[in-house]
Amino acid sequence: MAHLSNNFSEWVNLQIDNESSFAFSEAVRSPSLSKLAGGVFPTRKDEEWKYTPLGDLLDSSPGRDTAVVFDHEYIESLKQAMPLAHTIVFLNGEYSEEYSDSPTALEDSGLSISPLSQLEGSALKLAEDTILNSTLTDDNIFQHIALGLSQNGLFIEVNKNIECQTPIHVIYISTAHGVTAFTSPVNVIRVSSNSHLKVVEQYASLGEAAVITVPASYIQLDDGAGLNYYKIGVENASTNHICNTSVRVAGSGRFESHQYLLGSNLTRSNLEVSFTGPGAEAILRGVYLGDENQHLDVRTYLDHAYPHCSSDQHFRGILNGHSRGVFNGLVLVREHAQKTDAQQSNKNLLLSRDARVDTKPQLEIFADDVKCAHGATVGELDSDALFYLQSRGIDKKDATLMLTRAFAAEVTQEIDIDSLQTYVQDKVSASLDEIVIPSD
Amino acid sequence: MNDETNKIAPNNDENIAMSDEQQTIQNITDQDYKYGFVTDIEMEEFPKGLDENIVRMISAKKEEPEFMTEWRLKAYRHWRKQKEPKWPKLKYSEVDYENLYYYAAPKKDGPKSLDEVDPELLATFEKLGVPLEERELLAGVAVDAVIDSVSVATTFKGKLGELGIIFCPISEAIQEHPELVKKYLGTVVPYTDNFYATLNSAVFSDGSFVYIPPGVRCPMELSSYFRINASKTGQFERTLIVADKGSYVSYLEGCTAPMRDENQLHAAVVELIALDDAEIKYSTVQNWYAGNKEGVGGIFNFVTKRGLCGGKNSKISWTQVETGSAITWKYPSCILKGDNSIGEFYSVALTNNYQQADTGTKMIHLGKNTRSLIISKGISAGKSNNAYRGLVKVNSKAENARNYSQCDSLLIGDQCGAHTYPYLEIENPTAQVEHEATTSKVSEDQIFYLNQRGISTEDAVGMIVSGYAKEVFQQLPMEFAVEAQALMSVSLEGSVG
Repeated sequence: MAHLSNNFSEWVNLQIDNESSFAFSEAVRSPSLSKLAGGVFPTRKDEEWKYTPLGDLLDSSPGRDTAVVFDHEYIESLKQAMPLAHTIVFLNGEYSEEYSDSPTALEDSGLSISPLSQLEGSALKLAEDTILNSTLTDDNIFQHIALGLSQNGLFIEVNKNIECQTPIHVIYISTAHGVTAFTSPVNVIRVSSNSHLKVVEQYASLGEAAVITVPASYIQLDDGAGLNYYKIGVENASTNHICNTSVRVAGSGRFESHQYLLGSNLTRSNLEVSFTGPGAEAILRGVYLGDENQHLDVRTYLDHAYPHCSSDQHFRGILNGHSRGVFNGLVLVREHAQKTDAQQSNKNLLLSRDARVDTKPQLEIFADDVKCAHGATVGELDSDALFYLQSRGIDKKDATLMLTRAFAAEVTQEIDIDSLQTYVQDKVSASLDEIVIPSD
Repeated sequence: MNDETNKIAPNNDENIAMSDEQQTIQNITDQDYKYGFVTDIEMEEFPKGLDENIVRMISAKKEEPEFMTEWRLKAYRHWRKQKEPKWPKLKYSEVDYENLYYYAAPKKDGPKSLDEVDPELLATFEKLGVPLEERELLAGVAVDAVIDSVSVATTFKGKLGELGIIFCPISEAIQEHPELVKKYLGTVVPYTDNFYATLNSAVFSDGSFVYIPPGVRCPMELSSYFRINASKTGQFERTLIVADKGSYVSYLEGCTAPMRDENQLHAAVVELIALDDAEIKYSTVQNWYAGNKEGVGGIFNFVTKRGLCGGKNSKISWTQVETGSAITWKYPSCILKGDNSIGEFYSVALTNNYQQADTGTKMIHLGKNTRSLIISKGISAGKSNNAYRGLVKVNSKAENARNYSQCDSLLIGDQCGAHTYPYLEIENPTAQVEHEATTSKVSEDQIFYLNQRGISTEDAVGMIVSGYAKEVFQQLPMEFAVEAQALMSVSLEGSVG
């Protein structure tokens, strides 16, 4: 480390002049770097960050620990979520050949996967074009951190008319001792016409390590293409995770997203989906489960720019301890997007006195022949339901767990990869088991 | 819409329907403001612009006690440090606050009775369909009429006085009941509250004051008609209503304004205070000039309305029907501080042509077992934009708070916008908070059904919209409900989904 910095902002500024190898060409990097130079981090005065303070993240200054050792057993345990998948593992942002399945396994499958660092020629161009076409707002500083400072990530491309049977499982693991580990992986997923794919992105941090992860994912679905996209966060309580996902869905395409935020100190997930043709569909699901001082923030932005598209969002929050949950969902229906069907639901369960939820479901509608609705609820467990279970001889703690699991299961049961569904539900149950139910 | 066509050709083919639709949309956009006229009354004006001297002059003119002058000056100094909020979803040309008159009053001293009221003013009210005499005699409504800034007539004062009810212009209250004004003014909307409320605190010219003594149920609907008149005059009403323990009052506010080419600024403040077991019902029908069909002119309406349920078991209910103004910025709110207190908000906001509305409510739950209900019905037509913006906040100590919000939008035509921005901030697990919002249009099927029963398309739309907004109209007192329905049909004539 040639330079020292006191906080994240200073550190980012020092990286601008860093000569290390980066994932992208100047065409992608330069605009982001110029945004980073003198860029200002959002504060709670920014409407989009009203409920999410960045103090913990901005106070830390990342460093590099070259002597880290990754626990083999832990990596294998993460892979267990998807034993049948084609697995790619990144350790502290670097592609791990040792733990990743060999790309040769995918030969002739119409599916190509490559770490960004190994990408060149037309494939790199395709990846970069996908990024440059994206709709993420230009003042999104975390996107610029990802693009400007990313050293690696994954590029996935599916040719036309391919039904991919094997899901892709991408695991990002970070760790460090004594310093804060920083990674900003960029994922680019292109699914060509009438092809279908399932991708699972999993983020983990090892031990007690302090970690900052700023990923960005760029997804483009061509006509009639389909992607089931899962994001699983199981990071430790010293991890701050700010991610941006930009999705463009062409006519008759179908995008399905499942986000499970089950760890970290702070997670902010921004998911922006725009339809670029008529008849497209988006299904967004998610559960955020917070305890202690966790802060989990889900933002979705759905841009209905074409007619006959539909979107359906369902997010659930379970908050315990002093944790805070934030949901901020905007559905925009543009002037010519007639026959839009947009539904959004956000339900929150507060399990403790000090937990807190801020939810802001929003509709902006400029077309008249549309069906749009949103709903949000916040509350505690139904006392009648608890009483019913108790009257059947189930003690209060078990009854609470049972009802809370069921609350989450209404969303998790929609995961259509069996092993992943079991993994997520087990994680949810395990987290809930640790929760001490306050006695009356 | 031609009724004959429908009777002769009930098969209603697409082309006819389309041309009807265009015709009726044409009709609605051609609609001119029906209450646009200027009353020719001699006005007394101060110089343009605002500085400490103007504030002092206003205070001196009103013969206010020292504490009011000081309060106004504090507000003025604070206002100079504030910036106009930019967060609402509103687009408008900047208001030049230095180019406004901050005080305008009809010349002549305040009349003692109706006989002394300038006959031209009375004629104005008559044109608006609210003759004071008729109200006095028939409706049993005490009217505190305000043209521009000074209250010109107050009726039924004697009758109310017998019960100890104070209902008078706030300028009079400041002189005659300074202890009450001092105790309550600015307690719900402090002079530092927001840009417009602070400006109002510095320069408010008049408004209404109501005090209901403990245990008294106000026997009549109190009513005040506001009206903007003189050109380029900012209108800064200030209303303060205090319902003492166990009392009840229902207050009505209705507005119309004459046609103007230049935008007129209106920044009113309404403060309600309900003590233990008291209930205040505040109803508004607002139909100020909305600008012409090109979006030129119209009133800028930046209003701060807030009620404090200070005592236990108190209740404040806001009902508003907003059909006018070029810009509406208004969030009637309830601070539910007393245990078991209740806040309600019923709203119909209709925008047409280039009108813009950013309106909603805030329900702040502080006490135990507090409840709030929000029913908001937005109707957008023409090229207008209509936004609901609301906050439900449950404080960590507010046990068993309950909220239900229903925010529906109806779009008429494909050029308008309807937006919903609810904020739910919940810090207590015993809270039960539900928010629902839907968007819909007046469907061709609904209109066709009514058409084939011999109802013209115009009437059908009026009927459907009335049904859509029924939940809110039901909350209005009888006299107002009729007026509101009439306003809706006037504003909606010819509009088809």
